Amino acid sequence: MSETALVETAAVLIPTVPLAAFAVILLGALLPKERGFGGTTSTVAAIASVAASLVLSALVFFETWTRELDFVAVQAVWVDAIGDLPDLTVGILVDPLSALMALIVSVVAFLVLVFSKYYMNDEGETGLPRYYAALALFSGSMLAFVFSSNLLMAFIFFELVGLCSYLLIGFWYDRPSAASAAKKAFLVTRFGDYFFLVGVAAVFAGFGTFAFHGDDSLFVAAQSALEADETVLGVSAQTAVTVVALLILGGVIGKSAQFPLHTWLPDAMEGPTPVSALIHAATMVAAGVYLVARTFELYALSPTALLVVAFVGGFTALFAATMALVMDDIKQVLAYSTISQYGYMMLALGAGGYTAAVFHLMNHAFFKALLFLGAGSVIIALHHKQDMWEMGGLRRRMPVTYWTFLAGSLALAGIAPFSGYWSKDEALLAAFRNAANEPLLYIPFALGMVAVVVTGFYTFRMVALTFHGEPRTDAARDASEGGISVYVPLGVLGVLAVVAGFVNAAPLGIHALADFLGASAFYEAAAAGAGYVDGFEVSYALSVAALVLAVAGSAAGFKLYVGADEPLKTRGGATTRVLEKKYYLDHFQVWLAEDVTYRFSKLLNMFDLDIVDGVVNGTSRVSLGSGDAIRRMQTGVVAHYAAIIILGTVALVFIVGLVGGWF
Amino acid sequence: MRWITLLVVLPLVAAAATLVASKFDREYAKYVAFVGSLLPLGVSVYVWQVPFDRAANALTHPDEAQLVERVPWFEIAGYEVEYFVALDGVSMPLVLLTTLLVSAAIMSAWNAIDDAQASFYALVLFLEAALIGVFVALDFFLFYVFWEAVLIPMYFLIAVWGGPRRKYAAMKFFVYTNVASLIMFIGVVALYFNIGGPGVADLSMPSLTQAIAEGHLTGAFGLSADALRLAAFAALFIGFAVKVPVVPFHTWLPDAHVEAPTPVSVILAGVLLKMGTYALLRFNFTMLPETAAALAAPIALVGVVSVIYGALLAMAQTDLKRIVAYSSISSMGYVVVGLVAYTQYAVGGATFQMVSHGLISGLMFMVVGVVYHETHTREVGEISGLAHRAPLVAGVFVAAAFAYMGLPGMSGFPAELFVFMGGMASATIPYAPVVVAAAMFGIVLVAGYLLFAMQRTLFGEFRVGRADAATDGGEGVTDASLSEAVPMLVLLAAILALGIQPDIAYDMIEASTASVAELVEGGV
Repeated sequence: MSETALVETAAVLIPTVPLAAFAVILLGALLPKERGFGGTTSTVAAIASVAASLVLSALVFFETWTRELDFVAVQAVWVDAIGDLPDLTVGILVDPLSALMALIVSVVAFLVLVFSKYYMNDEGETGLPRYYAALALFSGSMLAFVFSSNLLMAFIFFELVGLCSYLLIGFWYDRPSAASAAKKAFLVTRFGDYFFLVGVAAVFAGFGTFAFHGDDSLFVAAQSALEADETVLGVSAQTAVTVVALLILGGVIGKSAQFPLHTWLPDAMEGPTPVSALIHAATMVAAGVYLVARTFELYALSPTALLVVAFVGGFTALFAATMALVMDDIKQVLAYSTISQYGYMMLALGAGGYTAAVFHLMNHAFFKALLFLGAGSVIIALHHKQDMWEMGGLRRRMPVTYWTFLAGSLALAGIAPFSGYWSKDEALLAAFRNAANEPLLYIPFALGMVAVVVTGFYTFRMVALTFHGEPRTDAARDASEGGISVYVPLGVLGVLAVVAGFVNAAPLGIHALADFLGASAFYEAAAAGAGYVDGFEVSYALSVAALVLAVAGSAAGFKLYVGADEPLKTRGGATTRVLEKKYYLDHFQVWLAEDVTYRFSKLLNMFDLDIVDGVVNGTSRVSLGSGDAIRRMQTGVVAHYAAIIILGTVALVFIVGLVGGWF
Repeated sequence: MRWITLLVVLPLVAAAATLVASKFDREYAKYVAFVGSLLPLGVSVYVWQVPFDRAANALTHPDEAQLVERVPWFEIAGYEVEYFVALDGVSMPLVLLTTLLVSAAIMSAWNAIDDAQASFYALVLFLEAALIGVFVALDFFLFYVFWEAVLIPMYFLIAVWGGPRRKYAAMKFFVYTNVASLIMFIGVVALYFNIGGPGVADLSMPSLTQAIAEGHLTGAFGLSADALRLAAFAALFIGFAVKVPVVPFHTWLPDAHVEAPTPVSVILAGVLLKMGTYALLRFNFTMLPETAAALAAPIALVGVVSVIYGALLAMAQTDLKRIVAYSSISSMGYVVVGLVAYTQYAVGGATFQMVSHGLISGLMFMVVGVVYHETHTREVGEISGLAHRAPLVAGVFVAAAFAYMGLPGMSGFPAELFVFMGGMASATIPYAPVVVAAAMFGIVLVAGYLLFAMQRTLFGEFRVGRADAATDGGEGVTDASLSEAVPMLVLLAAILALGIQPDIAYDMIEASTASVAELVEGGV
């Protein structure tokens, strides 16, 4: 293994370096103020650590690509079990998927950290060590999640990135809305993680292994249980595989903000905008989709689970896109758009489009981070105003932001040749091709097609309101954009939004990403397990149709809003109201938490105090003769207590004697 | 070297030294008590690292018990009573937990306790000796002496230094747990007196375990052997369930916690509750495995109800101490589920959870104590934005809350994970995956009420007092002092260490708990 020693070391260091930076910043904060770390030290520590991860990720990616690596680089025992019981391990899995994902995460993390220096490092911001510590912890945990060699380790870091999300959403904790949003985000994702953890425990009890890779992987174990038609945890192997896959999907739905657990993501926009770009758009939210891709071989064994994934994805894609239509806050538009785009990735995975999902994940990471950073640039220019009706005409005052934002918007809207077009097309193609075998897939496919129009519409509504027309406020008239730490991230991501799609432009006959990922093996797995097709033949008709729909939606959105001076929303009736109320789903969840669970707990508390404890107090009252006795006992005279102790002991000895036959 | 005797005696010596020192200067008491408590802590760490070897369970494999001291004491009704103490992988971690938490609690008392300091510290150290005694005793008589001895200092610590309703709470605690002790005592004695065949010559717990395992239990009072076994099991279970406490025997706990001063709450939640689960493991689940396995369904149900009911009640509370008190009930429910599952990971995880919850609840009570000391209120609605004034307290609060939620990287995660993994694989609990999944929902509820409490108390604008009342605005509120910060950070470090590297404790635990899991068929 000596020829892979370099990759092994690099892969271990990629998550470790940011985690070490986190520890350093944290310990620095514990020092007395005058010797502790200030904002500058922590900024440098965090950026440098992620820069190191970026270089190492590029190296690992290059090595994986050129040498087709696919191995567990490091395996260590975490919990050493006795006897035949399997140990619990942690390991670093280097394969095309993890190498690519690590590169995406570290590129975006690095650019966002650079941008953060512009966005966050204001005078008077005292929480910078906390901010950069949390971002370093996030980067390290996310990269460790990406390289996880087994399901348990994946769960561990899946939870830790959730913690970072909580800490960063609530970064400005003196704002009640931020504290509330942080709580909601953790709680809703925790609800999903509950199912994930049940799934983790069930995988252990049912299959005895967590491994993602090798001959003793959980996929092999599940496959052989299916072939032998074993009974797993009291049910048939097929049922067990489906249930486990759906349980893991619970965590995915929470983390990737899919219906019905998407409600936390728009609230999460309370966090600083660079955090929204990194965590709540490009990377952490991707963890759910990544997990399905990582365990795709398990899903491929269950046609039911695949269908559920596709339905969740297709429905979410359209459902979230419609809400983006009516939002006034630029970050809210982007948040719902994020939910919708992850819906496409889920749709792709459920339809067997492994490459399409990973491809769209990558493209989305770049163009959505770009859009968020562009929005951040606008928000700073407008002194933390986020309402698009207070913007307008910014293209002249902020050209770099405008042109890069436009590139990101074209990618998001799915207009060729920008990146989003190619991957979204491929996702729809997967659903379309497999619908021939599984007609139910036509439903999520149709939802996805409709969402293309809606996506174009809300994207260019946003572009028109923000950058076109005349400035609607003084702040917008005087807007200006920042320096190098704004231009570099926007520029790099802008270029990626234009060109990234060409790595797998299937209609042009380019399949570089599919080849790199070794996608044919996954197609075959889905073909064997769920009767899916083992490859996706390009449909030019579909490609053209998707493009036409995207252009139509975009043009309509732009045209309708480009000259708008005041909100058009007053024109809306019941539909707008339902959309603005987010289909009342938030209300429903709050009702469930506060009016059902919390009220029930209050009732239970009364029951506990009056009935359960009442019996206890009642018993003591009866046994001691009267309530007076109790009151007298509570006078605090030590002699009384001593008397009780002595009486108790005498009674005890008496009973012992009686039982033992001493008398 | 009689290490275990030293462990029991050192706190008593420290207690005496504290009382003597306070005669010279009142201020000496706290320092003497703290240094005195470091001695048993140091000895227990030394014992753990040097003479102690990872070994099988002391009851099922008495030959492997560590650091055995066995001296005949006296004879009663034909039974030899012995001074018989030893350690194994179940008791060693609990002794370490006790010595660590007592030292931490004593330091945290420096600010919290003003009145009659010398007596306070002496009682705490006396309590420590009794607690260590409970965990190391292998003779039932000796065990029972220590078990009862715990009640006395605890009673006075609540009744004298407690809050406004301290008399009621202390008396409730005392009577409730004493009645439980009595029931438990009858149960054990019924077992000893009905061993037929060669019988048992002494009151040692390993002898009783062996005799029952070899099938020497006979019937009595017109009951068959099985019926007697069942009756004894029930008596033991109820007796210990009060201490744990298991729903519905839990109502003494919130009252005791709310009224007890902070350092006492730390020991109460951190160690005293573990006496109950420790004794359940030793007696019910090690001595009477067949009965336990036969009753797995109702016992598991009791565990699940404790988890969910405790968590829901915690959600309904507004007093921070009551929140933590009820969530302790919830956390101890996992221990019951783990024990009755009879798999290696489940029983080991249950024991690990005892240690983990001891550290986490201790830390949580310390944080709440500091909050109370600074703001003079524990009502969730009366404090807000504490993070502005007391960032360290807020940071530890957040860390402790996430530890309670079982966040990976902290000790609660491996503890709960082991119980869940092992529980799912259980051969004793019917429909184990469904039952365990129901218990696991506790991880959502705990997140609910702790996140809510944090949002209300730590975040938002800084304010102390009711929102509508004119107050001083919490002028005097500052961050934790050094003597408050050090014990909190030490406990936090221990929680992180066990979370990142559970084998520090789990390695010795599993050696002793695996022998328990093996008592039941299919216990892997």
